[in-house]
Amino acid sequence: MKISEIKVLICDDSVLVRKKLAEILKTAGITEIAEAKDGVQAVEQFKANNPDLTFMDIVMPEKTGIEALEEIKQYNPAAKVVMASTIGTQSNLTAAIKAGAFDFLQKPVQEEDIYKILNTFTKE
Amino acid sequence: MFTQLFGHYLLNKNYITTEQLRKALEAKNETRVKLGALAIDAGYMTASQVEKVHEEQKRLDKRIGDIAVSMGFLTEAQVDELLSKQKTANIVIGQTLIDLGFMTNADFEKALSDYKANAGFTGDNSDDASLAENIAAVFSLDDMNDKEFYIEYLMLFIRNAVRFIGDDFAFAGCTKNPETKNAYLCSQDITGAVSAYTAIGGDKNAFYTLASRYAGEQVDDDEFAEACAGEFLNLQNGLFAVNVSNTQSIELDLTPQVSEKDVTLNLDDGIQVSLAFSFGTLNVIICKN
Repeated sequence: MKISEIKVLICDDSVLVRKKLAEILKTAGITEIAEAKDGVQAVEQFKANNPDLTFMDIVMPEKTGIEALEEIKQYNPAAKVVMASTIGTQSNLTAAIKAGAFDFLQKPVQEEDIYKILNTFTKE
Repeated sequence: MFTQLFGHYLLNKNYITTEQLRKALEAKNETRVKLGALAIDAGYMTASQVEKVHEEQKRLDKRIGDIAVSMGFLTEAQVDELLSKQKTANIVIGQTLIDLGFMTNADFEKALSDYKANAGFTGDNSDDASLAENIAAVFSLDDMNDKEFYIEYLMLFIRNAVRFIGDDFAFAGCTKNPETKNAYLCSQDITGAVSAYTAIGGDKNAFYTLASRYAGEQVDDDEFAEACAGEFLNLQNGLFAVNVSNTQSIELDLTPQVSEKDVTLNLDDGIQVSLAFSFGTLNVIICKN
């Protein structure tokens, strides 16, 4: 899959993180970007947009990122969801992978990490 | 960390006002530390010797270092050593205060030697142990329950402030069991085996500037300012959780950040630490449950 064809969903309660992440993705050549600002919206937006790749913050209001990830994986077991958190501990990483995460992103978001994820994704 | 600690000392001992400190913090990046201040800091010259050399320089077209050597105040080797320190000097805040006319060389000499002699302060605070000691002394945390928790949290906060916001601040004060009012406040709870309430607040200008510096872009509205300040707090707490997990094998979680306006807090426990930045004062509130 070409980078420009990837449909992305960004789920984060922070408008700053959504903005920064969207800027990096647009620079990389992605044009279709949907956004959600809590865990409930994340699941709704996933079902509405059927994104190829989802970025999901763990700490979010209404529903945590892990809960949203579990629901999304039930709805679509093939969903590719990258979990993001400032708490890059082993237990968070394990919880994310156990719930079916595609990758883990340590915040604050760095451009090179996003490129690595996109690179892995396009090769799959 | 010298700027933050020495700035606090000068405020505390009434050498300068908060406004003078604010102006010096704003100007310090333009300051080049002069040989005289370096010589005082190293203990090679007294303030009156520096004044004499400056007087002499008005009559002679010679460099300060050469004059000091010819007057017998410094050796060539000492001049070389001081010049090599000029670029990395941590006493830049003192030089700025002198340049702005807020302190004389003599005041600087006295303040610096008192500061260094003060029992609570260690001269070198580049390593964690001495930084922890300095923080405990500056904020009088020695009698606190959970002293280690507050010190750990503040050390990380100060490092993050320097890294993501800027080093143009000094410690302005610490209130225990604070009753505090903030025009803008962003808070987040740390939960798990160790739980705490944490927040950053200030007036509109201070809060917006924090937000703008963290985001690296202009901040024009409350929602974006709150998101940026909230992410800074989230980053601080996330790194704190990682540190605690690494050192104590305790897993911590965070709640989503909450932003509020005109908040009055009456805490029975905990502390509020004020950081006097060049753009205004930011309050860091921490209350361990």
